[in-house]
Amino acid sequence: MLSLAGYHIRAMLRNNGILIWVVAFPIILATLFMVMFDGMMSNQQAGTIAVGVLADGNYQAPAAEPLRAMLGALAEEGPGEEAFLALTSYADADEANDALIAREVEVLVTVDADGAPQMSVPPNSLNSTHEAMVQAVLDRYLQSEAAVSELARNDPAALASPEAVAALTADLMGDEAQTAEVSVLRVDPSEMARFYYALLGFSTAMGANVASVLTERLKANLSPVGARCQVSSMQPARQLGAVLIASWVIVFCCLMAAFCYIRFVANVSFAGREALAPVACAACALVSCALGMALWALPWLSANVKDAVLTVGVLVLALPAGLYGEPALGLSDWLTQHMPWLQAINPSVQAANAFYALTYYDSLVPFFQTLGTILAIAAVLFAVAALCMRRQRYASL
Amino acid sequence: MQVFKIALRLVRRNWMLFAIYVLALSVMGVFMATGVGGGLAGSASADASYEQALPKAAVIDRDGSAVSRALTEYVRANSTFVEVEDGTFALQDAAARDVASYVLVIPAGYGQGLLEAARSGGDAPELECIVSYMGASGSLMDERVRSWAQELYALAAASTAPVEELVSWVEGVQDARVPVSVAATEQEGVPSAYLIYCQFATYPLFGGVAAIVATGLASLRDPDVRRRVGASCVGEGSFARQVGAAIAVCGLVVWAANAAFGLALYHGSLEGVPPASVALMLGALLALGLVGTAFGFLLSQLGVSHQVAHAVANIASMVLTFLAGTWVSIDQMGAGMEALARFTPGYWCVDALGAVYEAPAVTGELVARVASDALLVALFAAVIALVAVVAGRARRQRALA
Amino acid sequence: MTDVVSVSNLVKRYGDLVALDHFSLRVAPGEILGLLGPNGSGKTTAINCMLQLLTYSQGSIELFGQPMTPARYDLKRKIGVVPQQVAVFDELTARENIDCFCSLYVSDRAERRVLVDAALDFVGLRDFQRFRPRKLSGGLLRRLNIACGIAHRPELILFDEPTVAVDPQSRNAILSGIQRLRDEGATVVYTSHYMEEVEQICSRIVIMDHGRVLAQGTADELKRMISTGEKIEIEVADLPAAALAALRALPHVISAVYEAGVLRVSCEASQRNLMDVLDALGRADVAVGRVWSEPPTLNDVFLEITGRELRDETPEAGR
Repeated sequence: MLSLAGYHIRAMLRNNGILIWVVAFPIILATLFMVMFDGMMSNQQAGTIAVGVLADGNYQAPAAEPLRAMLGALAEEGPGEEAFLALTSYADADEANDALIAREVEVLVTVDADGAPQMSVPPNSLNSTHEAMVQAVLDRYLQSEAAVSELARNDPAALASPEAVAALTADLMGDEAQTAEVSVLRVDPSEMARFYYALLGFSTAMGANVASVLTERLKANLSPVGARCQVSSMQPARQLGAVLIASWVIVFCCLMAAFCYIRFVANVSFAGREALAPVACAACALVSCALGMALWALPWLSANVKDAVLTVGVLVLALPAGLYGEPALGLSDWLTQHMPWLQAINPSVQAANAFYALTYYDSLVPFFQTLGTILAIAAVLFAVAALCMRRQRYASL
Repeated sequence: MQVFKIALRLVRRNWMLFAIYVLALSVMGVFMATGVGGGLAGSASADASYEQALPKAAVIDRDGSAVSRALTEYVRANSTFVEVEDGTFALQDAAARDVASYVLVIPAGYGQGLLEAARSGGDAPELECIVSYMGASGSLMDERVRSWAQELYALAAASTAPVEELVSWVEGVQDARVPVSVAATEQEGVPSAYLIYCQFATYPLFGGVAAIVATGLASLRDPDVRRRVGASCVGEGSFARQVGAAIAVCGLVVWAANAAFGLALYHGSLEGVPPASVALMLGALLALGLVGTAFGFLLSQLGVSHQVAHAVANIASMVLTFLAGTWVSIDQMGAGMEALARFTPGYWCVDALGAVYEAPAVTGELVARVASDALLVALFAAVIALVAVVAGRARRQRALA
Repeated sequence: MTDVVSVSNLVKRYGDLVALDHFSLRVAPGEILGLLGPNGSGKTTAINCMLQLLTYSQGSIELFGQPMTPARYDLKRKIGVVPQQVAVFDELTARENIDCFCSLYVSDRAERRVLVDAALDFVGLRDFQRFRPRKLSGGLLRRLNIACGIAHRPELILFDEPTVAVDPQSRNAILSGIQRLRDEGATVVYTSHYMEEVEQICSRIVIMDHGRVLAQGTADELKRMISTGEKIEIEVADLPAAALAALRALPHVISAVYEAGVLRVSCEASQRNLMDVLDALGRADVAVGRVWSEPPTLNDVFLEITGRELRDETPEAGR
């Protein structure tokens, strides 16, 4: 059995298709991530927001003076940092509206007769973050004014003197009430790291190619070599064992290679738990083999179709793992919250989660729980493969 | 035209491959769009009123005072509230899996501390928060929480009213919000879900065509079949042209199938959208489909094995869609990456799609922009096809030598 | 002595098509049995049923005197298969392929090394042992296919059309190799639609068609079953009708046809056929050119039994 496994390994290492899919593909993708994310700007950096202002009579009126002052202050560059807003004034409402629609400005601020700001946004905007930021600023402005009015109405004595009003205004714009961001994770999470974890999830599913090719060589109805193997005196279980050993070794090595590349070349942190990565890779390799075996053991479908199903299936499985960027990450999070069972049975998702749990949680319980899920998926797939491969005789070959 | 017919027959025999690549990948595009732009029926586009996206937020109240209860209610009213247990694991889980974009932890004694600080003129105790690394919605929520706390601080500093009254004033103040409207346009815009679907169509249009050609026409590259054809009265050049024509038909069918699928699924949300907008988007995608076709032709001319062709087609698709900015927005990648992306056809196709999405109306300018993007993409296709012809010729001459 | 192969009343259907119609077969130890039949006659189906790769609706199969089932690995250990399609791993060298398939039967590495060396020498692939299948010619590939099936020294070897698309030199090497295997004690079942090969090496021949055994026996026995004894062809520039009629009236002449300058006479078995024909021509003062005389072939046997040629092409094309 070990000799047979050795030959399977040798054959796979000389198979161009396998080398490309299981070895080169993940490395190429990881390199692409590395190159693309090198100059990545953080999502949390806004950049200067282009704001249009309708500088009509209402805007110029004394009632809007505090608003003008606030906007002017926000449009000033600070020491070593760029301005929050870039203001463009428009004298005419139509001109301002056209500029907004034409995306010359991201937000248009107008002032009503009472000096209160109003905001317009363009339809089909792709940058809702900037809009939300301007909205927050204007909300705070209005709420500051409302706070003064509220206090004046409920406790007029508190605002008896101009100094009290000034003190209240200053306090409203102050920053005595602060929040402190705390980190509960072992390392600071990064959106980019999720891509790499998703890539490991993708590689897990992609590794199913190895087991599928080797499984094809076991059955008489799948290949001439399969017929030769099936009529031999080595029991099918032992031959299957040889396939499992060979495919597991190859996929494990490929996953470890991808992991090492991600860790040491792309410098993605695993928070000092790299020693446990082989355990994760071992479990992922097992489920990968199970996936390939189960698919190829199915009695229906031609080899070409199984090929395509595996290829597209891998891509589809990797989608909820978050491989295809922000939309996929959004889908992944949505599924995790609304259809967790779907994520639970997806080997790519679980593989990505394993590395996630390894990195971010203090406790190793989530990590081992995820490995448990992976092994359970593998067990089910192995059972399917075993059931389908029990058949020794066929109606036709 | 016999080789052309044979090639089409071979592809037709592999109809299931076709279905898998075109339909399955198109369905993936629908899932992506659902994750971003909402469902099939409606979308965020062309809303008469502006709706701010609410972040997912959670509050852990360790104080239990009137202040902390009021602050919790404020967060609940301004977010998609999620429950998170007060424990290390639960907080780690929430942060790691992005269950909440913002978790506010109100420490014990905060309410009392805030009031004392306000009346003594000192700094208020700090609120703790966990802000998601994903997007800026967590940071914005944090800004609002600080504003609320600062308003309470200011009112507490100015007035000696009891805390319950102060809290009710702050709550009253929250009604002051800047009215936001969406600028009116003459025509309805394309829904964002359909945009995402079209962006993801770059995968089946490029990779799907190439993979179908690679597998479906694999037997035409078989050495024995080539020898048999070579001995016939079909010239090598004619053979290549006919195969190329068959591949072009494949590309057209893939594009049509993907377009029809999208139109069928999104026809509800596309009602009211000018047909010209949709036509422009489909035109840009057709240009990209030509690139996929040309790439498939190149693989065919290079005579690569079906396995290698399969792998190369899929790798190239992923790289292309990545550089097109469908995974992560290109303008977040830095200038260097954007410069590199401009050398790929996907970038220009997605640029055209984005232009149609953002345009308030279908104008001559928009048509010109989309047309120039599409022509640029088609130019890529022409170059790849030319390389394919040259490569094929060189291979044949090498074989004869 | 117990038959090595005993197949009784085997029935195998593919839908409405009856591939094996109460097919029976017995193979004695040490013989080379030829299973001869045209394409689609059921030879490969019979082999696959014997190997328990195909289901069958009726009949029994015994190998080495014991019922054969898919789980009889002890019996499988004694069987070697050389399938019709070349079944080797493209990624492995010739030596690796033989060793790999031998490992399915023999677990001891040292023993296998000896067997693999012997198999390489047996098929004459020693110089090509490091070549991968893609680099081997058709004949060498077929030899590799054989080596993979016999390396473990099986007692029963099933050859399923092993010389398809093989050059004459390789074909002769294969055929003499099979005879050597028999000499070393193996029992061989050899299926083919090439009658010359079957006549050359098989001690006993079974002719089948449409899944049924039509006739069996040694080559001579089969030829004696038919009325055709000899076929004579003579180049004749000009043959008068009277001479032709006289030829047809000769005893033992079954038919005489004169076409395109060639006289073809088909005769029953007799010692004097050629003499009688030449005498008749001589009496008619007919000048003759070249003369061929051919004993009956298995194709004649098949033709007489079924009314069809054994192969699609004309008998001359087989030369």
